Formats: sequence, structure tokens, C-alpha cells
Amino acid sequence: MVTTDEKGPLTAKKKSVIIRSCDGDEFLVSESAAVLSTSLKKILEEKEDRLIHLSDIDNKTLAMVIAYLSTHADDGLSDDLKRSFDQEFVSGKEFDVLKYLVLATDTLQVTCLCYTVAKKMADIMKNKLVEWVRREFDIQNDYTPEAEAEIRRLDAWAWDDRQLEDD
Amino acid sequence: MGAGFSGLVNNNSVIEYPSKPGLGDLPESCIALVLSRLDPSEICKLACVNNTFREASLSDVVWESKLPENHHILVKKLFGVACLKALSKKEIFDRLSHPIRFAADTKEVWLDKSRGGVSVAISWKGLKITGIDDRRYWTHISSHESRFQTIAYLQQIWWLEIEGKLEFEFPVGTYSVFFRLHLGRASKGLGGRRIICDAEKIHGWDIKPVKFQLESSNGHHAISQCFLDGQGKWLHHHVGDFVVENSSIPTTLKFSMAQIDCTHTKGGLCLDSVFIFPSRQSRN
Repeated sequence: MVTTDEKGPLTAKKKSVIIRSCDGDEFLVSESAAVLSTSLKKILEEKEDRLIHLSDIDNKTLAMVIAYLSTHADDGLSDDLKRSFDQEFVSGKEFDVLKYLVLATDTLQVTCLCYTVAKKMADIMKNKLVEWVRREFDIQNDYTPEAEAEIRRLDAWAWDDRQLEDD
Repeated sequence: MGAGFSGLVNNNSVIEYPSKPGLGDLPESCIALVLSRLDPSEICKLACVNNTFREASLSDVVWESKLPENHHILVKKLFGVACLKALSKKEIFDRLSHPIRFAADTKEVWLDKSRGGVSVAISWKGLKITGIDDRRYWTHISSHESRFQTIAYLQQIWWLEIEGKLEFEFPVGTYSVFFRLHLGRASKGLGGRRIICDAEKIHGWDIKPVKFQLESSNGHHAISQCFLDGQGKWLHHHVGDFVVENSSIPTTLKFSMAQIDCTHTKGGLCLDSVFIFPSRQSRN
């Protein structure tokens, strides 16, 4: 059992950890970057293990998340630079890539990146028809026609494109 | 986010999540995160995609950000403290976005579903109006053109003075105050067509301007003057704006409309209500 001081031994010393993707690639990451993920931080506080295996995050997604963590752990970069990094990070990425990113960041609990990616995904879905979303993202419609009609009825106002005025 | 995460970590520091997803298999929590970045109408529409989207679209994570920051106070005031715990954020959104009457049904408040922001309307019945019960001056008319189904019609008067007061916990923002007025009296003609009757009774509004005033408890004052014109249609006459910076305390507003030059009479005016809208909304 490792005893730790209040802040944990990890933030104090400059150490590295190895993170392994599901397809076996290993990434050497500074602990200061790794602990920006709440999940990784918890593991590192609980275990001496320097090798963390992420059994369901592929190497491409993991590489992107680590690039993000390393940038945000870099004290030499201003907040403005980090913000513009975030914007460029998600721009031009395929929806599929974003999907794995949102899953990975949700699992790893990297809140800021998760929100940024979710926003980007939302922008893609904005003003799209339900049928388009199903087709484009290969989603099975598991409603009966009656159930779908009922759900439309419950929030009928949302389907009314007229701007509601008070007059 | 990351709910149940600790249960997914085994002894070899392995993080797993369920099978590789198509978008339909994304966990509800992730879909909720995406939906939370959309507008209310978009969220409700995408609930139709499938059951997981529907469940995600009902989560508190999604609706928290669509509610005014002081919705706890508003819910307590308008629905009672028990509702605060009993209702989901989506249910609170739905209830707030239907107009809610208060102050003996003379006032109404609602959350704008599409644009967000809280608006208040105050019927003429909630205002202090000189001579309102004297039928020589004012008559009270049922009207479907008012959200309160009643308007006050001014036949003629020398001393026109209308005052109102409101104490309300407005969310942070800038608001504009309007009097909703109509020169001439509208009524239904043959075939339900809208006609203006008693047009000849419209008088006195071009001699002297009407004075509008607004005062808020946090120091905003506005005075404006305006000759009323534009007969035959409802107009929102802008009184002034105020800014709310602290939504945890009530803002008290006093507003008035007056034309008290007793050298002439004025008349032929319908008064419906006073509106307070978030001022980023364009009106008229």
C-alpha cells in the first residue's frame, strides 16, 4: 500500500506513465498531462502501476487525447493559445473521429475536451432532419410509428417553424 | 460523465467501455452531452431519433443550461417548494414556458422556449389607473386580442395617468418595458372581419405627447415622450430599459404613462397590458 500526502505523490514529482491503447501502441506521457484526466488521476493515486492499459480506446483516438492533455499541461502556453488549440483540434474532423473522441473523453473524464467535442458534434446535427441523423449516423429507429407520433405530439411546439409572437 | 467508471477498472488498470459503437450505441450520457449544446427545439426534435436519444433528451444535464440561473427561486415562487425536488429540469422548462398567472391573475410570466429569457406581462387590471371605475371615462371590454382576454377602453378624459409596480426575481440580463396600446376600438364586423369602430373618438394625442417613465430599484431611470399615432393596430410603446445583475433578489420596477395637460381631453385609446421582455428580442 502506498502512502500519499494530501495532494498525492504524483503532482509533486515529474514522472511519466505509459498508456497503452487497445491495439497495443504505447504512449509515454508526463504525469502532469495524465492527471488532467480525472480517471487517470484516480488510477495513478491508487496504484503504483506506471502502465495503464485502455482496452477500448484505439491508438488514433488516444494519440489525439494525449496531444490535447500535453498541450493543456504545458505551463508555457497562454490560455488564449490553449483555446485556439481547442478550436483547431476539432475543426475539420470527421464525425466518426469525434464520436470516438467523445467516448474516450467521457471515459477518461477530460471534461473540457469532452464539451468541446460534444459542441462540434452538436453543430453538425444542428438543423438536420431526424431522418438525416438516423441515416447519416446509422441509427436504428426503434420506435413504433405510434410511439414516434406520440413523442412528436408531446413537444409539438418544437416542430412549428413559425416564431411564436405574443400578438 | 464517467458514471460507474470505477467499476470498469480492473486490477490491471484496464479501462473498458461496452462494445464499439455506431452512433446509436453511444451511451446515453454522451448523447446527452451533445444534445445539451443544442437549442431546446432541436433537442425535442432529436428525441425522435430513437429511444436512447429520447432518454438522453430528458436528462437534467441537457436542460439545466436552458433554464434561467435563478430557476430555483422562480419555481419556489410560482409552483411551491415541493415542485423543486419533484420535477425534472425538463419538466421545469415545460412548466415555465407556459404562461403562469400570479398576483390574482393580473400578471403573467413565461420562459421563451426558443430564445430563452423570462418575460412578464401585467394586465391593466394590475395597474393603477385614474378614473378606471368611472364609466364616463373608461370601459372594460372582453377581447380575444389580449392575453388576459380583457382590455380597458378610454372614451375620453382630461387627466390620463396609469401607474404600475412590479417586484420580481428577474434572471440576469437587460430588459425593456412596453405599454401595449391601440388607438381606436377594434371589434368584429360581419364575417368576423376586424374593424375599427368609433374612429372619430380618437382625439387629443397629437396636441401634447404622452410621458412614459420607468424606475428600477437598482438605479435605472428612463423618461420618454411620444405622440401616439398609428390607429387600428396594437403597438408596443417603449418606456425604457433596465439591467439585472443579481437574480437572487427581487428587482422592483415602477412604471407609468401620463398625459395630464388639462387644457384638452384625449380619448379613443385601448390599453391592454405592460410587457417586460428581455431586450435582445426585437419588437415591433
